[in-house]
Amino acid sequence: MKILIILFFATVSFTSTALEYKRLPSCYLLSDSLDTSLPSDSAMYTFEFNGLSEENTQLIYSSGTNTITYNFENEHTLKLILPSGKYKFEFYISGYDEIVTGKLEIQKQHHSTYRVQMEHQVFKGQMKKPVIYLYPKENLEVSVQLNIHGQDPFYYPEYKNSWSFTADPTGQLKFGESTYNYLFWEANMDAPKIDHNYGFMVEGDNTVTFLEEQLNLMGFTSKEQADFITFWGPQLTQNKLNYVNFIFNEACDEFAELSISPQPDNIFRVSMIWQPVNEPWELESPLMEKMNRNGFTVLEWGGMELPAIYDAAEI
Amino acid sequence: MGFGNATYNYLFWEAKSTNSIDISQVKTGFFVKNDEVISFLEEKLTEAGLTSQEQADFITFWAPRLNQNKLNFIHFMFNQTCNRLAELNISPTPDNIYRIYILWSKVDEEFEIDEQKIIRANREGFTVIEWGGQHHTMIQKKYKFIGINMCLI
Repeated sequence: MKILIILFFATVSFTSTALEYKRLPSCYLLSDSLDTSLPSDSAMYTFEFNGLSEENTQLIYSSGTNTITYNFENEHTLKLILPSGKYKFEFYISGYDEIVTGKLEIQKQHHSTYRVQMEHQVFKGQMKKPVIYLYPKENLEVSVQLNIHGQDPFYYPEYKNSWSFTADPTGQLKFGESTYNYLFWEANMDAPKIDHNYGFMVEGDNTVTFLEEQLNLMGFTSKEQADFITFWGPQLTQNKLNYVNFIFNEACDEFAELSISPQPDNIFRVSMIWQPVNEPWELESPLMEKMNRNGFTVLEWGGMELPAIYDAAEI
Repeated sequence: MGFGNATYNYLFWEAKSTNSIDISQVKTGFFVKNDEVISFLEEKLTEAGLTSQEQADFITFWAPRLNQNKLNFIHFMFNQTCNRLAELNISPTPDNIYRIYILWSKVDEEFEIDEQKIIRANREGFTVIEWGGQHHTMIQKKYKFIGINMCLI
């Protein structure tokens, strides 16, 4: 009878451990052994961090009450001696997803070694409303192909391996009976890496003036500016302050490669990357580009909102 | 349209509306699945008499939002009924003013409702077209005004 009861408990505890592991694949136990060299009521945790590179030297961790900054020495390993008990750890390394462990129990004079798998932080953003305008010198049959580095693309008008249409010098694009002013696409994709030392701080109330000024400098017509501003203006105006930066031309290939046949004389691409911020920080003027509108000209603009920055010190 | 040196294709405004319309009280409308959003809007906006350029402005604004839901309920507001959201005065008086707003809400399943008749724009003479829309949440009954574009031709 006694044996039966013990077996029953063992089964329960096994099941609950299995569930715990499913929820926490990023931190798991490698070994647990008795170490009598430890003080009688103490225990030792060793955390081995996986997935880091040599430049990751700083770890911020907490085991409940206080948060400690720790500099790795030769290895990406953290050793902690604590009274035996149950602890929940949080690990943070810049550029990686934060890890929060479950409650890890340790017995007196035991040494537990855990593997912590760090994953690169990649924010998924939405590349919104890139529109493409085409202005040939004379009526021209054009084919446009996009290779989007993202998911769930939306196109308008309908895209079948390419867009094929006749463009005229005023920028009207004729698809059979229908006429459009632009081609439109949108997709979800990885956010680009941005150097937050460069860019602009733009107050919400100042959005329209700022955009008119910058788009003018880039060489947008007032109609193109209106399309851009009526799309982005209301979104930026909702925040007190925004960080704004622009990505130009070849750098936009990161989002999507654009092939146009016949080859235009000038292609200008710009993506506005922006995010709400709580307080400003020092910024250097970014390198801005200006479009050349000579000959068969193509303009594409789009943008992406990144998550808000609440603490400028994070930058 | 010329504003000094600047030329625009349309006037644009947007506001949070204080005068809300209760979408659950409307008597007519449509149910549209996400993969039918574009063809539905093209069909109805063609019926309404919008040009392909106006349709593109409308569809590229609203379709990516509607596409996020498996099923949407859609109701259109036309002409004078739009005054409940905003009155529009134009001088000199145009020969024809046409206003069309899309009200839409995500729904889990279809319910019984009559299909709505689309009113067509009369585009003779000095014509004004205004389009816009409002996203609704049927269950929570929260109303937020998202956008309106206006087009002078």
